[in-house]
Amino acid sequence: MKACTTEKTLQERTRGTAGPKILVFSCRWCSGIGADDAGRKRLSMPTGFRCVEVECIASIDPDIILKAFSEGAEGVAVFGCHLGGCRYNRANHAAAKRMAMAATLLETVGIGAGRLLTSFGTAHEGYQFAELMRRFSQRIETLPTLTRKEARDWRLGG
Amino acid sequence: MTFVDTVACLLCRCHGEIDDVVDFDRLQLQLADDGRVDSVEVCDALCLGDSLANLARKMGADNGSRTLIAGCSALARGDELVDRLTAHGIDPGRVKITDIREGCAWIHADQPKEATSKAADLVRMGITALLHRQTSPEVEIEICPRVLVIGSGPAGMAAAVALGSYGVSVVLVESTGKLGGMLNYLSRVAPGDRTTEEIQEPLVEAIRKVPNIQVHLGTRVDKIEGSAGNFEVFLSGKNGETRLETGAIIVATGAKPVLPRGMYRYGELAGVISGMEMEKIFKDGMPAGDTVFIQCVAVRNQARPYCSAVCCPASLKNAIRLKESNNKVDVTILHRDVMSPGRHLEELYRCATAAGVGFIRFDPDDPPRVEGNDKVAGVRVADALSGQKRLIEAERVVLATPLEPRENSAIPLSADNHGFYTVQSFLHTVETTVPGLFVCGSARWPVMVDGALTQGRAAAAKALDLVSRPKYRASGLIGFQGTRFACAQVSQKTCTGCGNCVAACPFDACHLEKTKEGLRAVVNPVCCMGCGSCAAVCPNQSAALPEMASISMARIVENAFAGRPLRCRCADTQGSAANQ
Repeated sequence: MKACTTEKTLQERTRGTAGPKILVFSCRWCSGIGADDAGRKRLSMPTGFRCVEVECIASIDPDIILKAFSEGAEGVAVFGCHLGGCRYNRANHAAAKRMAMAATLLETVGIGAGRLLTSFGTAHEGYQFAELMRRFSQRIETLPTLTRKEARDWRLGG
Repeated sequence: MTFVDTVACLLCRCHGEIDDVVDFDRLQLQLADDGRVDSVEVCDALCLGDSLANLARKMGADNGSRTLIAGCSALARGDELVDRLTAHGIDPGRVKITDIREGCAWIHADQPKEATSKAADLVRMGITALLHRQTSPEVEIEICPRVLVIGSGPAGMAAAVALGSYGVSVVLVESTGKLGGMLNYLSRVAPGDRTTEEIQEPLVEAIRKVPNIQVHLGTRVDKIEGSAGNFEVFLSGKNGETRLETGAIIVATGAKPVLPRGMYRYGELAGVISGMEMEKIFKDGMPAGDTVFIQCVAVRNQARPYCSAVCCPASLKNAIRLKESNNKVDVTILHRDVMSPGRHLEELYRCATAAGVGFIRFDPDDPPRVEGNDKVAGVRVADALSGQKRLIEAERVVLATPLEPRENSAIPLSADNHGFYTVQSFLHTVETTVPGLFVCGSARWPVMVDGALTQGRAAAAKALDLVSRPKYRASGLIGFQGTRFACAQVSQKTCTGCGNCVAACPFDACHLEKTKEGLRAVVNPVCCMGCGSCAAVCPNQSAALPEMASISMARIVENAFAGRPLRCRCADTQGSAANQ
């Protein structure tokens, strides 16, 4: 209860020193290994992100991205293999299109397309992963706070 | 198997690598609060000593228990731990590795407090994933012990002979009336000075001798149905239409040479011939007269942006033969750049320069012009290196034309931008995206005869792996991992037959079937590779991967930020703050 009585902004209270809450979906063949590579190199990153490894980013339903925002995430990052390098034939091409659609959807409902990051990397790109996480965190920090009220407005259709 | 709905947590200290950053006491307290956690244990290093054997013994005693191991990542030692537990007889579905070393301790060493709450979240996400994980049913395929080889070029013949000598029943289908494919049209084979008979005859002889190779000449493939292990192929030929059952198919349909119509006055001026016509002249007898070869005709342009890889060696080979037969003739190769990679082809290039073949480089924007009224008089070319404009007198101009893909609608393979069949990415040379279908030779990329022979044998080895066993696990068919992640399941109760999954499946594993209630999507468990594309596009979650269902994903997302002080302690304040 102590934290609630201090004169902090909502954003500060939510985040603490961790940086914005980001949910990362990474493909376990390329960018998941890239994230692991960043870990092995002990690259410092903001602590606010949580990685969910999926088999292929093609399995990510736009619903789950909306779910992440309704659960309090401030940003969602989707990392797949490079286009043309997908283990599952052309699956990540379809996923790239789906994410573009999801970004439009987020813009429409007022969350903002900037809160969804889609990127493609390979297994050895640990530095790139760390840099992406740092930059995306910074970008989210500059955006106005995503409050629950906004989320409620969206549910009502306003 | 029914599991208890709690999970035993095992936290690995990794000799202080993790608990120097993550506060294990706080982590244990937080986890003890979680109703889904049965017990929390801390061990020093699970990968060393007998800790793993102890864990296996404990898990073996209680078959309903599941364990979450929080430690290093799956790539570091995690997968190895699971493998070792499997060797102890523990079902790998009962174990999950959560990475709190690479994914947390090592990257957040400067923020131990935040790292601790992140580790708690990661462990909770792992628990959720483990509790919601189900296993896809395993499907065993009965393999038809026969291989169909389509095309009898060097690749197809090599594949058929290799398989035949292992005792596999092989059906070799050739659309023309003669075995040999492109070998029938070549004079000599580069690199080196080998006759085509040297390569062709032993193969044809072997095909004749081995009794289990059936050859169908003048036969075409009309349609391929079914999946790995049980393909159904419809053939049509001299004997009418036949149906063939086969376990694997090797596609060795090759490529066709381009006719350079309208280029460099081909077809209107006597003496301008294509590379393949030059081969025919060589077969009939040694030609004479000054000759100019022009490289990269109708290729490496907008329409065909690739390098066909076989035309430079072919021109080098023919130039050397001309020069060696008669040193008096002038032989010039006009090129954009000579592609002669590898030891043997580089030797061929050096051999050509030593023999006195002239090489002139031209600019693709300023191509050579063929001069002459009723027959070739010479070629006017701007030398890109010296800048000089030159007229080379010649009585024959050979246009080195590329190979282009054949179109064959009967073969259900995906093609690249150029039309050649694609193979799986990453070190898979002959395996396509369709399990049980292999591609070799120029059908996948223009290749020289030696390469085609090697690829044919490679495809034979892969096909042999499939058809040599009477039964095959469908989950093992995936090329790039031992066992596929999952096999999609479609709930027939809720499926509305919209067909989204059919369009989205990158492996054409989904199809619609008519039932009493209407159309329903059905997944072929042999073709499904478990990417989850169908689950993502399904409007009512009828299609799902049991290993990572949407409900499981949603629960994981719910747990991702659960450990934040705001959600567990200040939930009311958050609501009121937002309402203001």
